[in-house]
Amino acid sequence: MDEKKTVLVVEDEELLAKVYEDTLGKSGYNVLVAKDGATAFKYLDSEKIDLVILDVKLPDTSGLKVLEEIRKKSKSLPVMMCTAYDGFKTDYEIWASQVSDFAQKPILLDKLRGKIKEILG
Amino acid sequence: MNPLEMFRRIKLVTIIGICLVFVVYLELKHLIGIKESSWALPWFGLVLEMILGAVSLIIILQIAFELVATQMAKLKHKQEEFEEMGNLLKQASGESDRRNVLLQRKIDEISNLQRIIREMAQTMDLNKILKIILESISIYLQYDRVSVLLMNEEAGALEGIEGLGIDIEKLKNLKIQISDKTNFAVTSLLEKQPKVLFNYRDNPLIDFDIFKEIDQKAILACCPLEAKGRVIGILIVDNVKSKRQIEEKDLRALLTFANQAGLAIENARLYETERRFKEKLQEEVDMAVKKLEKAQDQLIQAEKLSALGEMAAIVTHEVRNPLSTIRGSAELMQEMINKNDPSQKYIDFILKEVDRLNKVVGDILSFSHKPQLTLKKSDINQVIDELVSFLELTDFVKVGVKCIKELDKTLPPFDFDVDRIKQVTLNIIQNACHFMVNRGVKQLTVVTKKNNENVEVEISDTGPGIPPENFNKIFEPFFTTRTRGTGLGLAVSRNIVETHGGKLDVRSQIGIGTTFIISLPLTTPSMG
Repeated sequence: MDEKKTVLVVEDEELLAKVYEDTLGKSGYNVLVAKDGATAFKYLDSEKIDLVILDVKLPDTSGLKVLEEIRKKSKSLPVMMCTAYDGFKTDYEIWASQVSDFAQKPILLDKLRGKIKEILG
Repeated sequence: MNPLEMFRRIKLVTIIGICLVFVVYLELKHLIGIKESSWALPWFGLVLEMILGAVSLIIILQIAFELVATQMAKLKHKQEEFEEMGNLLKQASGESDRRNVLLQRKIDEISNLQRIIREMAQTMDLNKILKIILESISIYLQYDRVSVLLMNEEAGALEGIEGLGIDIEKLKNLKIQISDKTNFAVTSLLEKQPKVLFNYRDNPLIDFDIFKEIDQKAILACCPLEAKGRVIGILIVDNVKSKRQIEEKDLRALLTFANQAGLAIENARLYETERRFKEKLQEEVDMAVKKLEKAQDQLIQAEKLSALGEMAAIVTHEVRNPLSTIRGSAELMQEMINKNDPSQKYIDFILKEVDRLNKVVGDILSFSHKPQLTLKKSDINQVIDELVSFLELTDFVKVGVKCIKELDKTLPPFDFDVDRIKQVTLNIIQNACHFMVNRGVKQLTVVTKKNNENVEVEISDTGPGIPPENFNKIFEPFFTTRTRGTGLGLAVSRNIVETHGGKLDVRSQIGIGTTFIISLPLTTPSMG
């Protein structure tokens, strides 16, 4: 049996992070939740992560900075941006090319599950 | 008897008389006894004395009478001179009377002229001035017909402007080319001289319809209208009815009138040009002010929008996060409870209202931002087809709408943002459906067509129409007559269409229906 895939959820909204955690946990993933950039970097250094779900607005830094750091270390780690802002794709074209997918808040759980499955296989 | 004859007789009688007196005197002297002893013959001495005395007397008398006669002749000459002077005086008096009459006439002329000048000076209206000129010439100079022709420098022609006693319509159509130097009017104009037409048979002026009745010499004259040394037109007078001949001397009075008239006409024209220039300037100023006001409005609007945009972005972010939590939680709940559980219904309510809230914030956000377009060459008919197919399963069934498509299949693909235009079209069609709910006939017509360099999508409904008081407000943000609307749909739609470089217009008739026209350019201007 395959080892469980690990998803890192970087989301400062505590309740929303919990919803992600429960949803993905039910779907059979290992879920790590980081409520800020610093925690996210800690997990990225210490754990084997298969997918990052990344919010754009974080309390200590921006999701884009986190993405920048991730890309410095790995070009291939899948990152899915989750944002409440719907102009992301057109306004952040440079960043858009470096992420696997977008999810616009409010996120539909079925859609989220589908996309993750697609990425992780 | 004439005085000379009388004088001669007096002279003769006087000489004889004086001789007799002398003879008598000598006789008496002799008789009294005067001695004349020296003489050899006493009677001879007497006779000699008598003769000598008589001769001496005659000579003396003759000289005396000659003197008198000379004086008489002088006197007569003086008398004749006096008579002659009398005659001359009489003649002078007659001449003076005649001159008085002439003088009076001149005074009349000058006072008339002064009156006319005064009248002309009181107005700057060219038509009024022309009327005064024509009437004055007709009344004071007594011509049957008077015509005023003015120079049109661009056309190089004299053009009939106004006349008196003449067919005005024909006159206004009259054009005499300056290049025709044989034309009598042109000759007068070029020579700057008033002229009487003697050689009437061969002149091209008489070829013109209104002058064809000139059938004898010297009944037509031309006088140039001058102003500040420049000829601005010509005055044509004629006596076609009375046949009174115009003499060269009549031209002087005409010229005096013409000079004043030329000046007045020129002044009026200058005034008119200046007035028009002022009006044009005022118009331009007004337009500039309007443009500025519009620009200012736009600036204020842009500032407002920018502020609103920033706020909307913050609000959206802050609202969408909790909405995400609510929605996610509700979805998880839905999965956890039994499908037939009565709570499912309430979870559905939560999900629907979350989606509605999400749409509201989405509308606000897209209204406050200039939409970012993803332009792609696409087929507008395909977009309409897809949209109508989708609606036929949803809104059209729900309301009972019959949809008619009249799509121009020859339309070429062009650049537009498919999703945004779909959003606009959907918004308009959903509005239409909403307003047809209570109508007898529920028909929706979607037309696509080419209009010059634009593609138009016309969406017509059979709804109640837009009340006039709302007509100008429907594109205003937050204006709505619907209970569940944000009032942003049409504002956002117009924003999207205008970002494409197109226009969103509306026509509406109360009780008949409303038509929205989305007009998109076939070639999109570069996006800023």
